[in-house]
Amino acid sequence: MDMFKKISFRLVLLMSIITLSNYVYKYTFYQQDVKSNGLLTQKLEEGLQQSDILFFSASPNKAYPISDTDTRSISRILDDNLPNYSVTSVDTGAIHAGVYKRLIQLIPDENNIKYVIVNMNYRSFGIGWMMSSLENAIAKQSVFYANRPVLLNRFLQGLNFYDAMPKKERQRIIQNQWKNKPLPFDPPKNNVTNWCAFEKWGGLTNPKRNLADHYIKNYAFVLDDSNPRIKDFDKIVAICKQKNIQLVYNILGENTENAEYLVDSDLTDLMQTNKNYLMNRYSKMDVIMVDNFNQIPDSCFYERDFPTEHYNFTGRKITADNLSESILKFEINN
Amino acid sequence: MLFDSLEFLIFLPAVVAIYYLLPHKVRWIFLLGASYFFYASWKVEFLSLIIYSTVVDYFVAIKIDKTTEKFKRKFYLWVSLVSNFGVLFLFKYFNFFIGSRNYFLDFAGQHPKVEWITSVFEYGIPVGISFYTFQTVSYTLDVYYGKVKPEKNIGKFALFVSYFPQLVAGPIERFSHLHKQIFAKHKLNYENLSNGFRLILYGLFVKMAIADNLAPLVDQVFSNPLAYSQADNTIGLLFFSLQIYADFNGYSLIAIGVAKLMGVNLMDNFKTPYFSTSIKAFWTRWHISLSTWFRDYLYIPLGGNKVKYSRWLINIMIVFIVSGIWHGANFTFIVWGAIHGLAYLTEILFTKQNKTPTKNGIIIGLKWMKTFLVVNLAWVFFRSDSIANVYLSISRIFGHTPIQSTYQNITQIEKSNPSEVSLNYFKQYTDNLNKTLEINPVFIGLIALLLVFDLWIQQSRFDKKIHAYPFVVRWSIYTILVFCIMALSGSDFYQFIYFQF
Repeated sequence: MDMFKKISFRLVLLMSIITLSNYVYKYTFYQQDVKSNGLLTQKLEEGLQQSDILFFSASPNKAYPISDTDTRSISRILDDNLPNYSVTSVDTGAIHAGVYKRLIQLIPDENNIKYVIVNMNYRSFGIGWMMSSLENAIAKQSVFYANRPVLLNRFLQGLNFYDAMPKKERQRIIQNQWKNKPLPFDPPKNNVTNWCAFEKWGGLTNPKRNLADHYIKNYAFVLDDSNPRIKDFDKIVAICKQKNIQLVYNILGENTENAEYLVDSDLTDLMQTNKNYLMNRYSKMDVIMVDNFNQIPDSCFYERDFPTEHYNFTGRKITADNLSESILKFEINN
Repeated sequence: MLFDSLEFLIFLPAVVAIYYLLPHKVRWIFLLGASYFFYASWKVEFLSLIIYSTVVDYFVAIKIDKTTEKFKRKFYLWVSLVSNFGVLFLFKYFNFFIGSRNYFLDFAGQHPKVEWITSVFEYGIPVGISFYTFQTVSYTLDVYYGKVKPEKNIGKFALFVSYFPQLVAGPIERFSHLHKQIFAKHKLNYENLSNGFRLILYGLFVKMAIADNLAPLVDQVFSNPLAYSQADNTIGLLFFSLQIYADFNGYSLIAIGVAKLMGVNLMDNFKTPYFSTSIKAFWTRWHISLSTWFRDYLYIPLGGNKVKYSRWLINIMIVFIVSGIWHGANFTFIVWGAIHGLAYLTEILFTKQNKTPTKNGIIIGLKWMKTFLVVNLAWVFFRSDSIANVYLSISRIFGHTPIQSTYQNITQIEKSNPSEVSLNYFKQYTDNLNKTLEINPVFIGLIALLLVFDLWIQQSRFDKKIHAYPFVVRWSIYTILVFCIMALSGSDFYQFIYFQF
């Protein structure tokens, strides 16, 4: 009995130390962690206080190149297009629906948000992005996007309580899926590895060959219910319904022109099928679907040696205009 | 399931609570289940290797014990050695011993069977394979030498092999020490709980707040030594010395603490090794369970020092080189072992002339410095992926500009892939390097704290030292440790260094 008293007293003492430490951490190292880890919690809080529309995005929201004639981001242009609403962007590079989901969950049930816009990036459904080497860092940051005491979040980070795995393991999973996950074509296009090997541009010294491989690796997959990102987007729909916020999914423009030129129409047809799957699935769930998939011309894509969704001003303007148009149309109809 | 993971922080109290709630008779069965569960949490497939080692050594030991014929006893011993080291060889050294992996790449596509074999053994090194292999081998050898009687219950023997606190990273225990403790009747004891938690707390601090914070800094420098200045390369090396010590010592302390919770005393693995004033002393304070294993099962069977002087020196070199190979399948580990061996031999030759130990503080200081320098320079080999990268790091540390052709020649000789990053840097190499190691001042504070603790602990242990202090002092120290663990630990994902061994 004496021992249990001793243990109980010490447990209470330990809990008091932890509680006190939480306050000390919150007002000391937490601020530093927010800055150095690029946490989005501050942006979200700002948005919640001063905006009607929250815009969740990865890097496509930024201006490319920085020396562009007009450096407004998509969310900024949207803000200008919708004078009755104020838009705040909650964005940082390489994030995806898995992170948006956690951030949107942080919006209080009682809120003033009219719309949540989430960029739907086609590439983010592919294994190359899902198993990217940046994932450890992104998953690490995501630990903070939870309604828990900040010290507990920080401790969970220290315990690597996130989807962390060695780079080699990620590479192994990617290669394995490229090699074994079937595509709806006859050989040699029956999987990514074979398709890449059967390239019309010759050897790997040809830059077009390299680029075509990137397009196949990033765009060739079959989208279905088992895709983890689909589950994340489904979850976002559920959260927004629960919080009574109108959700907008913005399917970002992809360089389908270049994809067809570098690879062939089989690839773009497959992409189109996947895009249609997304449109059908989420339209049925009362999400406002904005389809920019084929809307951005090749000349608007900034990067030329990798498929990305980094657009110049024209590309960003097209995207923002389509978004504002869809929102306004929705408002007229409702 | 790592010790510093949420899963383990849930698993451990549950196991300890159930252990004490169960009747003594069935506790070992529960512990065996818990140990297999613990190991299977990495890759369930690798559990088969532990079971294989267990079954082989269980039967071999009984056969050895029953047989009086010298030849048969030796035969059974060889069965055990070949099967244990065979598995270790296949999973850890296969690609290295066939002439490093790149020789094999030449065959890719032409010999599908060869490709298949390499792909199987590249599936990954089973966690802790070197540790439990050495533990089972020591058991068979002890039975062979008549030091212990074999365990008749295969389940109980399986628990000795897989006892979870020390399964994946040691300390490598002996049957005579561990077996009777595991199966002894332990009562719930406040002292054991208290000391166990103290060790776990301090171990977590050392592992999470020190090692895990240093890991990304060390990684930056060693992955691209050319991009960093002489000073940064030197700091990177010093940080690695601290990282590997904190990583392994922290993990060992947690292992000892976990076993302590269940009344088992595991052997100490570290005794502030960086305060050693000779390589010989260093090896009595660093990874003690491995160095004593090599002493008992390799050095002494080779004849130890009871042989000709020249043979004795050769024995020492053999032990150090084998110790290097134990750490990994790479030339870098062999050279690392050889450097320690040569330094050890140099000390023997030197002390032979001056046998009286000095009390002169300056001499002791110089000796400490020499030992620290040798150990640190040897770490360059331990940390680098290839000898070619060692060349880059050492060149930068000594302020020399590495030459691209020399670098590429070394990669050709050792059949390693030249690093693309390094080749790019060679192309534009100037003295104006563009990367700087950014060190958070908080880390310096944490390192200073570790130094203070080590100076205080010396050759004792945290739990023993703190025990003597009043309640308020003890809990003030715990508060600091708890805060450092929870708020300041390294949060990037880096696996425990010794898992690869």
